[in-house]
Amino acid sequence: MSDSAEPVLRVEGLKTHYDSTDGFLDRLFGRSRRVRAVDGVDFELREGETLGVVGESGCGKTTLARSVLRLIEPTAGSVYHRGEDLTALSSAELRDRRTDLQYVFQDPLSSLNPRLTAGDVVGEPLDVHGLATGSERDERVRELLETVGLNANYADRYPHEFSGGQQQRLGIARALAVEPEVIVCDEPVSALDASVQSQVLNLLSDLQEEFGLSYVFIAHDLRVVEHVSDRVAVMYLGEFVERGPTDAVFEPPHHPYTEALLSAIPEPDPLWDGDGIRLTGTVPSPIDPPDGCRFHTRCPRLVPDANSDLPADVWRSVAALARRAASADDVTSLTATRGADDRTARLGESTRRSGGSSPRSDPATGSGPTEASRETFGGLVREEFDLPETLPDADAEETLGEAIDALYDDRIGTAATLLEPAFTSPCERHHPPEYEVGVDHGIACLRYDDGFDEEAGTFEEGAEPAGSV
Amino acid sequence: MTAVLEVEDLTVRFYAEEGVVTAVDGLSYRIEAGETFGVVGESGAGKSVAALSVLGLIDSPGRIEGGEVRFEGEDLLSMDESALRSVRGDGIGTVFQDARAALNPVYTVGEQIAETIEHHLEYAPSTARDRAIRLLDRVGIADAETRYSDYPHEFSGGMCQRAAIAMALSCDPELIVADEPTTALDVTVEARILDLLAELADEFDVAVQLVTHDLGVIAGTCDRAMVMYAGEAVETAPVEELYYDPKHPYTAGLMSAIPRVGDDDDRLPTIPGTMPDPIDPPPGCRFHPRCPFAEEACTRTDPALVDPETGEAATLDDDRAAACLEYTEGLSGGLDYSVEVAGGTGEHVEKAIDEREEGGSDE
Ligand code: SF4
Ligand code: SF4
Repeated sequence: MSDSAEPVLRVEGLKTHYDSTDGFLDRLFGRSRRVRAVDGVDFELREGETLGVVGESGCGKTTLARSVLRLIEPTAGSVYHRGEDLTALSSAELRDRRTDLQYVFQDPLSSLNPRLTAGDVVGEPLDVHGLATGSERDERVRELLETVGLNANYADRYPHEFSGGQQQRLGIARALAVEPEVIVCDEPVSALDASVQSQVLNLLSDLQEEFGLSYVFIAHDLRVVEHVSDRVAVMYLGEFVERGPTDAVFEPPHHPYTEALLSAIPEPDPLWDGDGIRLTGTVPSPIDPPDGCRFHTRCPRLVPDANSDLPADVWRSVAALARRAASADDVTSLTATRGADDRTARLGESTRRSGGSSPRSDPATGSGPTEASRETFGGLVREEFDLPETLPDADAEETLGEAIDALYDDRIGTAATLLEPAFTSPCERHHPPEYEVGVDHGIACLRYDDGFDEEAGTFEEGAEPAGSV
Repeated sequence: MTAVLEVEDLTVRFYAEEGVVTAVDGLSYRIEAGETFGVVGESGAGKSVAALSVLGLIDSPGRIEGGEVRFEGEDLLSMDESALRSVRGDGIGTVFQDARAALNPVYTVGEQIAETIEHHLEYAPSTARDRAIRLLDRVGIADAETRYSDYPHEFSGGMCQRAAIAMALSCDPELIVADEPTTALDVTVEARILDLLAELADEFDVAVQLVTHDLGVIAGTCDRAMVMYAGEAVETAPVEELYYDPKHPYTAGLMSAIPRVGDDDDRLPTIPGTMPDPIDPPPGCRFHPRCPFAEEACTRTDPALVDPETGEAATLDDDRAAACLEYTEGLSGGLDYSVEVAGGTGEHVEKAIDEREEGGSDE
């Protein structure tokens, strides 16, 4: 890693939105569905370094990778390569730039033209850019194959005759052919077996050293990203939520999302205690991302309201109920069928083959909330949301009680309105900016705001960040 | 302990245009009632073919050529199709990698589960529905009663896998065969599905054969595991012994090749080369072209699966077995690797194999 002043790539405010307006009905009603796949990303790539970008599927990392090289047209923002904005180039100019900027795809085989021999796969970029012809070209092709650890005598074979690892080597040789300075690697090893994966990772690191390459390395596997990267960016719903030097990102302080990703890694060690925090739900739709902090619907560290006297986890549970009430269309969906121990039913011969008892007639199974008593119903709601029988704070308990009454009467909107004032997190109101927590290390989470009181676990009165959603 | 499944000397061949592939070659293992048994290997190891054989799902051009697959003492391979179908439905549940594909897109998720219950347990329709809803709820589908009527495409990948687990459990099976159940999922979802699987295996007292390429998955969920390479078992052991005291060079190599968080080495240890050509596997020990300890004898003699302590042929009852000449005739150089367990943090680092020249060109 060298410390040159101008980075090789500088990405500013990059956005890639696309239309997923789907089918006849959407068009008929003029519904437009904009997918905000990449939604305002900034980063710099320095000479000779690897920037890892990690996130779950649907976080936008592949769209980001492709937008940076304009394989997909970005909607807004700029990508500066050596000071020049790629998004402003004509397509001919852009093609010339491909000699500096290359891409390695996830699936080696489908990214290689099956009708070209290995030699032609690697030689094609030389032809396109007029870099070498005749015997010089053949010589260069052999050299490239050997550089990536392939036998030069295999130049006449077709891609399908190679193993997965060899195919990926071929993809890398093709990218190297034009002597680029940046290679964007999109999940380059995730399709490979473990033993072959490590060979390809080592190859990439050797090539980096030999040719001074800079990599943007996209992956879902934190273990791989940690191994290859100098710096890491963690992506969630189109945004970077944390970025910094690799060591810093993998040590506390963490963004709550990074923390959750780390604790989910299956560690190859039977005595390792993997009971870290677990995220519920999946990444929400990028068509209509949550307000405020986009992670708030899943965040295990959601910041409680400043006026609350409840323990944080209890507060979060009521807030989860409030959110569900605000988005659900009917009450049934708030009380899943809990309580009935499946074992009992499995063993109980009376249920078996009797065909008589439907869940609706049996309040104990609770599947028909409006037929259960108010008390049973309340119990079910509390159970579903992991709430104690009575909240330790009288005011909060009163509000919750009224909300449950409303739910029991099927007035779901009323319940939502009752809960909203006391159970809305600052995280739902404010979109967190990136806070500097260390050298070159930024975290976009309100818990790192100056006004956040670590001890109280929330914001002091009037200390909430000014900006809103 | 009683074995719920015993596979003995199973051989499966595929007759492809290019030649005959022996996908599984003389494989033997047993799974105890209620235990979770891992089968781990890279692509081409034969682990999925082994799983499909247990389910009687080997289709042409594949053929089971020999051996027995005993489920609760009865050989599945000698049963007729209808007997097999009823064992499969009542006794063995399945969970595949692509859960969405395993669900029928034109029926609702709940209907499919209820249908299975009705059919195999002879429940009345309303009771079956009731049980299906409870199962969906138990596997963590929020709002199970409403989601009962959803079609598979309305479920996320993680939810489909949960539904598939509910389906697998629906008939109160003795064994669940799970083939790469979390491979297609994100790491956060994977972690929860694995937790769930472990919890349910315990609660329902069902044995699980968990097939995966990921040693990390095995470590957290299994009691014992078997490592496969090129159609054969190379090592079987209780997981702690497998991870802390691997007896086979391939196991040790595989573990050292996984990048670990907190490991500062710039280069990863690798296993040079790739899986051998399945049509024409190497003579002697199949691992010898990639094995750092290979000696002349390894190119000639196919090592038997033995108890590594005694060198005696392993039986179905042995918990510990490995197939390397070191344990029978002895290698002149021995197996020179060690396992380092770093601190009590559970970070354990395998500095296995002297790093060798990377064998890219002889892959
Ligand atoms: S801002 Fe709030 S919701 Fe977002 S990550 Fe931080 S604590 Fe969680
Ligand atoms: S028998 Fe030889 S080649 Fe095979 S694993 Fe043992 S040492 Fe390696």
